[in-house]
Parts: sequence; structure tokens; C-alpha cells
Amino acid sequence: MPGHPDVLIVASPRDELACQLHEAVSRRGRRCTLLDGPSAARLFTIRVGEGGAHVSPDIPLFIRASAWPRQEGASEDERFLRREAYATFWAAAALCKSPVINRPAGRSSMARLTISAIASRMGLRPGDKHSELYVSKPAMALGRLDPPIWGEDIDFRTSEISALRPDVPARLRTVDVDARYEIVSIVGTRAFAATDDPRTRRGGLPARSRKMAAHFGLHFASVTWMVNADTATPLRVSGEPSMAELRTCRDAVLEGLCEDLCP
Amino acid sequence: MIYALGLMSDGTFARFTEQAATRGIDVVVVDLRDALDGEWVFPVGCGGAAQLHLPERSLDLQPDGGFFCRIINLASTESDPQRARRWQALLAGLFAWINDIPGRVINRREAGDHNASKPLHEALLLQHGFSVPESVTTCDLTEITAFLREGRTVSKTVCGVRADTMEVTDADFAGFEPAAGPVHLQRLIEGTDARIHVIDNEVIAQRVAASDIDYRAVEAYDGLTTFDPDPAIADRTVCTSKAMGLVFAGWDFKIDAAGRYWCLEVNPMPGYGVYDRRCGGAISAALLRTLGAVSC
Repeated sequence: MPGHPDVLIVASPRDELACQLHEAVSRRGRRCTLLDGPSAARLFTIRVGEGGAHVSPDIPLFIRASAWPRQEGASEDERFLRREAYATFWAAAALCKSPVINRPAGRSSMARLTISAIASRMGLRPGDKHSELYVSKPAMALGRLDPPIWGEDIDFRTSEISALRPDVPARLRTVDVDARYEIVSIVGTRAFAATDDPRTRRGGLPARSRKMAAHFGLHFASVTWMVNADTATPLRVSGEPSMAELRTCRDAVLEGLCEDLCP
Repeated sequence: MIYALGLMSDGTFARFTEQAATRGIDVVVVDLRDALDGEWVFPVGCGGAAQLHLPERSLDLQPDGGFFCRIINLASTESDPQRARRWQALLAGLFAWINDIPGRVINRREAGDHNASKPLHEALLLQHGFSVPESVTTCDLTEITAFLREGRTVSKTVCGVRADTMEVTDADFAGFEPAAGPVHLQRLIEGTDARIHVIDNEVIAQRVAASDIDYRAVEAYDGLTTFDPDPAIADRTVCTSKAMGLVFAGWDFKIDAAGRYWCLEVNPMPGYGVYDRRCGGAISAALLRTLGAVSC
């Protein structure tokens, strides 16, 4: 399509994964542009009529949440314009026919799900052992969860309960100190485990991770597992894998993303 | 037990609680501002009761209850960043718990989210078989001009923030800069406005005898009368509401001179108070029945 890139990456220019993908796509001889969310939104025209929806330009998209940073101190007008841009981009990404990673659907995004939400949305019932508490302050969990208790506060600081700030809301759960952890990264039908531990293969974690990502409509995802002697429980599904999560499979992930964005 | 979760300063929420009281139905009312000032525990994944310690009382929310939710995030109105973050945390916990429980919820989070992206919303309504006025969403002045020349046009917000719908012409876009966009333009449909509330399997339809482009802007609610809609449209609103996960929905239509129903939108959290007042509280009664009240 003249005048438009072959692939559009919608992310912050400081997003390391997005920048590396930009380089990888460009190395393949494709025209690739990286734009923040509002700039990307202004590229698109969406027509809806009796013949259906038509998005122009209809180009492959790779989307990261970093494209829409928090607007601290923005005026009401600025926030409104940003919402208008976001709503437009959401529709363009959901309705275009080209590959979109990850394509938003009826809801705007699914950045991350934790253990209790995964169980809830997959119709599983993990029981008390794997439940989570959302509390107004960490002390509210005492007596309601068995120790050891770990949590994440509203600023995404993770630690054992006694090290969390006492007056800040948090999400907490009991941790299994004997468990090991595995991260499986998914790109379409490809699965990359972070370790070569035989329990990963035995527990079928690559296949289960693929199925889970597909269930949540995620082409690109990471699934973090808690692995015990005889069970593996999904702890977290992220549609926004970090570079840390991808460190053992970064090149393969970039290759997979390139193949799917520029078939 | 029926619970109402929302803000007492919200007229629709107040209408629901007042109608419940008028009908002698016990409803536990939680003003989220009180919850913000108190403490909370939302257990997710184990089917447990949520606990709220409000400034004046403590209470449990039972997961098998009926929940009328009008949950409005006021974080952006808080000047204190800590309180803004506390709003986010309160609602994150509440939504996680509400989405996990087996009870009847009006409405669960995410149901009808796409109303916040009008072009996507309209495309989905089209897929569900409704007639939808054609629209364009763009920053491109050439596209805007072309659309305006094809027929009478109204302008709406893209993101669904409540704003008056108004007719626009070329003159409104003189000097338009893409940075001021995107804009959402829709073909103007002349006809009668209709609001159809769907409450589970019940349909309550009202129409407005007003000639204004946006009857809500001129508060022409006195002209509201109930009517029996086209049965095929009524069925489609019920089926589509269910498909979208909406137990309660407010459908907006224009009915043209030929009797064709043009779907403008489906509201996932309809401000139904003004309509309820003009149908003897029938919408509130249906909501209460759906949530488990036996005497409505």
C-alpha cells in the first residue's frame, strides 16, 4: 500500500521489545514504522455501512500497552482527545483484516491475568489454596490466608507481606515455597519454555500454554506456571510479555513475530 | 439478598434504591465513596463473601446474591494521587470478585465494553443483524468532506462519552486540523426516537414524540410513551443482549417513515431513571425481579 508501512508497531519508542522487533522486520526488507498510540490512531479511517466495516490502511499491527502511557497531570481536554484516539485505534485494530498481534476484540485489552482470574475465566475452581485476596491494606489478609503470604501492591511492588507498605492496597496469596516456576512464551502455534526441566515436557506445559493463550484470544503471550511434584498451576497469563520473561527465547520470539506479521 | 453498588449522587442509582424501598424490597446499599474511605477484602477464586468495613458499619457481600451495579470510577476526579490509586485498587478488587461469583449481576464488567469505541460497536451491531446508519471515523479531511457530501450527517464522540449529537456541515470543519480528531460522523436518520430496555427476557419500549436530533439534549422526556415494538426487533435485542453478556441493556433506535428500525447503540449501563418515571417504575420492578425479588 503506497505511503503506508508494511508493518506498523504501536508502542513507546522506549519499549525494548518493540524496538527490537522494528529492527528485525526492517532487516527483512519490510517498511516498518513505530508510532505511539495517538499518532497511530490518526492514521486510520474506519467506515461502517451495510457492506460491513472497512479499515484503511489495512496493515499488519504489533501493539504494546506502552503505546498508551499514563497521562499524569493531563487536562480534561487532553484526556478526552486521548480517549477519542484510543477508541479509534481499538476499532481499527479489532476490525482490520491484516494480522494484528495482539488483536483487541470486544474488550479493549487483556494485558495480564493472575491465578484467580485465570481460573474464573477458564471455568476452573482452584479452591482456597490458589485463591487471591484483594485488600485495602496487607493487614486485612492476616488470619484469612495461610502463611507464607506474598503480594503485589498497586504500584506493582512484589514482596512478602511484612515488606509491603502497610497502608497501600494489595493483591495477596499464599505461596508454595517448594514450587518451582516455568515461563512458556507463545507466538501463534509456537511455544518456548524458559527451562529444559523435564517436568515442563511431562506436564505438557507448552501445549497447555498454547491452549490457554488461544482461549484468551492472545497470539503473543507468556504463561507463568507454578510446578509442584505432581501438578502445574497457571499463575499468570500476560499479553504483554516483558523482555525479562523472554530472555531465554528472545530471538525465536522475534523470528516468530516477524513470520506472522510479514507472511 | 439484593445488593446495590454505586454512588448515591448518581440519579439512576438513587432511582433504583428509592424504587426498591417504595416496593418494600430489602436492598443492601453500598455507596462506593464509603467503601473507599473504609477497608475491604475481596476473595477471588474460592467463592467466599467479600467484606466491607465502611465508616459506619461492616457488612458481607454474599457471592450468591443479586447485584445491581453502577460502578463509576472517580479516580480521575481525585486531586490526591493516593486516593486516585485507592479508587483503582477498590474497583480492581470489586470487579475481580464480581466476575468470579455465581450470583446474578447487572451487569458484569466488560459486557458491552465495545460501546466505548463507536465504530467497533456499530460494526458488531451490524454483525448481529441490526440496521446501522453508515458512519466514518477519521482525521482525514478528504474523507470527512466526502462523507458530508453524501447526505445529512451528525457528529458523535468516538469513545461514547455522553455528549449531544449534533448535525454538522462543511462549515463545521473549516480549518480542521487532524490533531483535533479523530471525529465520528454518522448519517442522520430522520424519524422517531425509541428506547428499548431489555431486562433479562423482558422488553420495555418507549418512544419520543420529538423532532430534535438528540431528544436527550433538549430533555424531551415528557413525550415518552410506551409502545409494542416490532416483535423481530424485540427478539433481536433480547438475544443480542444475552450474546453480549448484558442482563440489562438500553437500546437506542430511530424508526424511519418506512418503519425501519435503525440501531444507534446499546448502552451497557443505561441511565434509565427518566424512562422509569414515565412507565410507572416498570423498569425498576423488572430489575428487582431479575435480581431475585419475589414481590415485584
